[in-house]
Amino acid sequence: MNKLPLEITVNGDPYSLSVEPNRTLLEVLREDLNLTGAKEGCGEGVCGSCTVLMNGDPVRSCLTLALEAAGANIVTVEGLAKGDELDPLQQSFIDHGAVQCGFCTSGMLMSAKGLLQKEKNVSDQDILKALSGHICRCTGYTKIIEAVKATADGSKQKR
Amino acid sequence: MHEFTAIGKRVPKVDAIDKATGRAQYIQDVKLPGMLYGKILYSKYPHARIVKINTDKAKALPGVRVVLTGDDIPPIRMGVYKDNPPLKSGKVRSYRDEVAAVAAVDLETAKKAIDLIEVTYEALPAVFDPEEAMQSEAPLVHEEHKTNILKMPWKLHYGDVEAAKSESAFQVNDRFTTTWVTHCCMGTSGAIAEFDHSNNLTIYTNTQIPSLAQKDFLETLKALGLKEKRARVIKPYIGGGFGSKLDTYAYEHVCILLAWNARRPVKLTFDREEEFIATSTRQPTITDIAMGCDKDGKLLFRDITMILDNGAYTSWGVTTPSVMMLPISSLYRVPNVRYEAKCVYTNNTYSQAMRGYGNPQATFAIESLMDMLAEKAGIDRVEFRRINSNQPGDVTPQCFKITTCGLPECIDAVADKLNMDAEKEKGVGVGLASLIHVGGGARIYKSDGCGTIIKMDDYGKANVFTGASDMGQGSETVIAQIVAEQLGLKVEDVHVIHQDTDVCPWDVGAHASRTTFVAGNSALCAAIKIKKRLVDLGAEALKVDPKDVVLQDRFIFSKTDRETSMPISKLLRSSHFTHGGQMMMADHFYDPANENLGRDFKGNMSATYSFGAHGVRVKVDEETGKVEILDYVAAHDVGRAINPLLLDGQVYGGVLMGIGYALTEQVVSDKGKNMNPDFRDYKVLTAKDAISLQPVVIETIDEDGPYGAKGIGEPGCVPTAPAIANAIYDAIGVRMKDLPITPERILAALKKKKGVDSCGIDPLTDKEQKCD
Amino acid sequence: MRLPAFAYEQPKNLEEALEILNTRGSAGKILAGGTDLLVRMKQNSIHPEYLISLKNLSSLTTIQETEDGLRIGAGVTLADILKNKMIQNRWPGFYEAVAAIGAPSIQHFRGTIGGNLCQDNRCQFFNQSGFFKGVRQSCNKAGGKTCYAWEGGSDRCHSIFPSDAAPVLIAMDAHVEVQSKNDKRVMPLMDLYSSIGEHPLVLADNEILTELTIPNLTPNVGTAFEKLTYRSAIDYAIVSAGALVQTDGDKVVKARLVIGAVSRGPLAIPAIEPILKNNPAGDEQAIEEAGTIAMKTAEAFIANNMSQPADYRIQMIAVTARRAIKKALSRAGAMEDR
Repeated sequence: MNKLPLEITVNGDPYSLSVEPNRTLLEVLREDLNLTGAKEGCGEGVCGSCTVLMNGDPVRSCLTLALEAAGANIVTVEGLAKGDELDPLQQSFIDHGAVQCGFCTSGMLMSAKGLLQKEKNVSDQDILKALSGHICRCTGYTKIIEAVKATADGSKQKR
Repeated sequence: MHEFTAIGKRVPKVDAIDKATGRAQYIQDVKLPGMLYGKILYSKYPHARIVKINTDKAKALPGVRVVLTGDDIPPIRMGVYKDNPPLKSGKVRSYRDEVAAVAAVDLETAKKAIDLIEVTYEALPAVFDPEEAMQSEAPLVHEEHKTNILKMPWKLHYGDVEAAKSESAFQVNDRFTTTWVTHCCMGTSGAIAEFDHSNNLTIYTNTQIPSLAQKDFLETLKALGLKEKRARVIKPYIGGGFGSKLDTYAYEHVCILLAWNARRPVKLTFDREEEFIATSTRQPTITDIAMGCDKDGKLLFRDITMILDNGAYTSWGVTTPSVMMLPISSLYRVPNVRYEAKCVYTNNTYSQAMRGYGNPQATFAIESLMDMLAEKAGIDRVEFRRINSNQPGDVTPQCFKITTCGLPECIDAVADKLNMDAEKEKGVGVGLASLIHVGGGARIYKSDGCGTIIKMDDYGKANVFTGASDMGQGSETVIAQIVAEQLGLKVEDVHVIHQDTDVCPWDVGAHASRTTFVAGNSALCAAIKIKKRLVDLGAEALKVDPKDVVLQDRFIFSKTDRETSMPISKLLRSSHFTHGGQMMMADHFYDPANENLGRDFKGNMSATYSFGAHGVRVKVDEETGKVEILDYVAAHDVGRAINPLLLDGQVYGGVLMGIGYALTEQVVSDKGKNMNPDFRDYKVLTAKDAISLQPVVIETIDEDGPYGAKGIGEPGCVPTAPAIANAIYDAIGVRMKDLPITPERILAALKKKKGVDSCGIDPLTDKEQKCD
Repeated sequence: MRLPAFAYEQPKNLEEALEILNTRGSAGKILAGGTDLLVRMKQNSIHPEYLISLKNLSSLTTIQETEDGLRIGAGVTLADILKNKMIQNRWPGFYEAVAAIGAPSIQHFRGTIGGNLCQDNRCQFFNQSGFFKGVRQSCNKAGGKTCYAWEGGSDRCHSIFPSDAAPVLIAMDAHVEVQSKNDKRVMPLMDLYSSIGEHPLVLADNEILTELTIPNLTPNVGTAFEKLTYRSAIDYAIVSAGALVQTDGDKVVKARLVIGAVSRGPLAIPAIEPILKNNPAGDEQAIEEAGTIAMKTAEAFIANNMSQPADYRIQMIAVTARRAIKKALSRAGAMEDR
């Protein structure tokens, strides 16, 4: 299989890569860029553990060809914090007990981030919808939902 | 009252930050130099003779380093009955049977090689129904065992059940069934095995039992002729356990065999489909139960016979009746108890431990029947439970010593918070169910112990080496809190190390909700030893009476004069860097004073028992049969909430898992073949299905628990199904006796109630039954 | 899970895409959002040599209001449809059908409306891994000669038509435009479907769905979509129904019902129209009867192609149909109120 060039920005860093067409964005992030924060929980786009932001939208990196992300701006969980300063969502997940085994966490964070970046006033229903494509087996979801809600409310207050 | 500085605080999980930033490394993320990739070939038949395996083409494929079949490996046997070789030879007994394995330079090559292995089978008649498997003419799963009924001793009789039956004013009996459900850990299984130049093994693996796994792996080394070699078990971050990692699996041993043959590190990880088919399930049960009470509602007897579908091989699933006995003999006061369980080999997948370890299945039958008996006796079902509630100081027929018991408070809290007597709309109902579980360890092995080593550094920080395993539940955080509290440190000053058998002490494993209690006590006792030394040193340094020395906020000071103080770090340095100086270290092995069950199954299995009650309000759509959870109250006697934040996590997570068990989850098996090995068709609940839950924490401060705490890892999913079944009955008047309570089963039951020609859906065939 | 090898083509515009498609023929597959296609490829169910990406075809990603209604490019993402307030207000049945697809972060941002309408049929025996299927002979859909979903086997494929968007669109008389290198044709959406399980679309190998057109609805028309699932998200429908009703005063003058997730293609139930027509909108008995008719019509198509028992799915056809009709009726009224 011929490799094709791939220009991509990940967490603010531009990369010039060369990848086979059948490689997914998840494989390239994990294997070529060593960004292992996005996880493969099912490989079929159901569990959400592989979610990353592509031009601000949450996408399943396990069902996105790397080449389809050409020119895109990708943000993974490793790109959420600014230096030592955690993203408010990360802090909120930690403080609310939204992290247990942690395998679903990065995907949950990215979908939540995608939502909060776009919507200024999010309802509980918006949060449930945004998280509905993610499976978590530890938390029963409640603490994750509360963590997202608290961040949304917190950023509302700031404005 | 003494103010705690760490105990009782909502301390975030200490590794949450690494997980929330993507730093935490799971087995999928670990790479070793020169690593090969392993893959397993599974059976194409549920029961067949292996006539021939041709691996020539696989071996010839460039990049393939090792190909192994059952004939290439020394005799290794896994399982309680030592009936399960990691690669099968001679015959396969279920679809998940491992037939061959490959190690290659990359995963694609390994997969290709697997496809090139040619196996010739001769199909054998198979048996999938445990009741059929018990018949004398049934095909034998293990010929050498002569029968499919496992020779396990699960039989007890306390008091006189027959006499109690004749004395009972009211009696009910019925049959309840449960099916396969599975853990669905988000992180799939995997291992990396590596040998050093002296043939010592290091294995990175997802396990809840590092010490016992080490023992299993040493057996495999021995079989390979590596008698005096070491096996080091390293746990990376684990993406959920729930009991699934309580036994070693074939893939771990296969990984070792491949690495040994390749003399290279080999990584073997499961994809999601493999996780569904090749890890184990909760045991399916068929339970016949009878209960009776006197005219005042006092329980007189409980009589249960049970058939468990063991599947093709034995793992801990076969021992779950030992825990089922706990609610059977001791949930509520029951003077006369009889129980008999048969575990039966079939050509289905084999079962393992799963959160609650048999307790959810038994409690489903018991608590459903409690409502039926209350109705028959004409007693309010909450009152009926109050009348029969366990009380502190009770000794149950199985000789369990109930020390603290918050069951009455839990029942009251549920009745109160759920407002059970409120007027209901059509299709709405409420139900409740209680639980008892081990809360102070569970002595099922020779030892129920856990070791801790504490090493203080020169900067006022503590390294705590524990045998306890964290799979996400938070044991490292709880241990850090306990040590910090004792030593006057901040929680972040305590680093808990639990990942490596080369440095961590022995522990029987993360099971039976025992870690906070056992590992917590172990850490507490070790910390007390350090504290004593610090106090003595501090008293000398501060020139005060040791009785007046206080450790707090990283300082040591005098109770009488806070100004007389010294940083703990300085005290440590002064003890270390001096002539005749000493390391500040302590260890402790804590083994609770609980007892192994005797031949009659009597014995105080746990040092204390956890109690709880759940109540739920449901709405049933009578057209579609769908059940909506409107309200949920989960009250638990936890002894003491050492960390209310993590306690919530166990309760919320346990309850949602329990709701899945009650309503949506099942492994659909078609003649032994798993038909839904993926998250689309195996219905784990989603975020949109999250419920409104009110947890209620009852603190009974158990005198044997660390700071009074009891275990709470499993109880959350124990009484969920019967609480929901009872609520459904209250809502629409049909008694649901088979799990999961799917919409189609509810509709079939409603039809039956209305006298339409249907007698419900048969749980074994999933077909609607015509009434005879 | 790795994807098998293929060559990747990224045409810059529609003409180029049609040209490539014409050359590659059956060896090429169109890659839109990929949420269904890539799963099938990972499972080894299909093995295209070429994937033709529609990523750069901006002409397919517009939503345009016209005098007659709405034109939606096949490449418009589900998320873009859900962001569109006009669609939400004027075509609520369509809107709720799109909202019901999968889960937002799975399908909505990458999944396209064209992809949903062109989704291949599903079956519990077919939509499984190569490993799963390796245990048995190939079924009709996999190129073999049997059907596991039909008791006693069958010489045709009894898979299910899964699209959530199609039933209500068909009820609304939506049309689709299909292009090939030398041809362009417009057809009713219903005609896109062959009702043949092996290849459920009538599209030729060189054809591509380019546009969906939805007619304007008069104020006395109500549309609705109902989907029954076990869980609140992720699930494929157990049964789905799209309905359209038109009222004149209190009377029903037009009624359409299309059932999804039951048969090999979308299943229109014309028999409900005479039952509901000229009756008062609130005629419970007529609605009851319409549901029963839907159930009786659709029942024959139910196969053992999903894990829920057939008996249950049959009963649910009636319930889902009634609920869709009722909701459409209330919307017909509601729109009148406005």
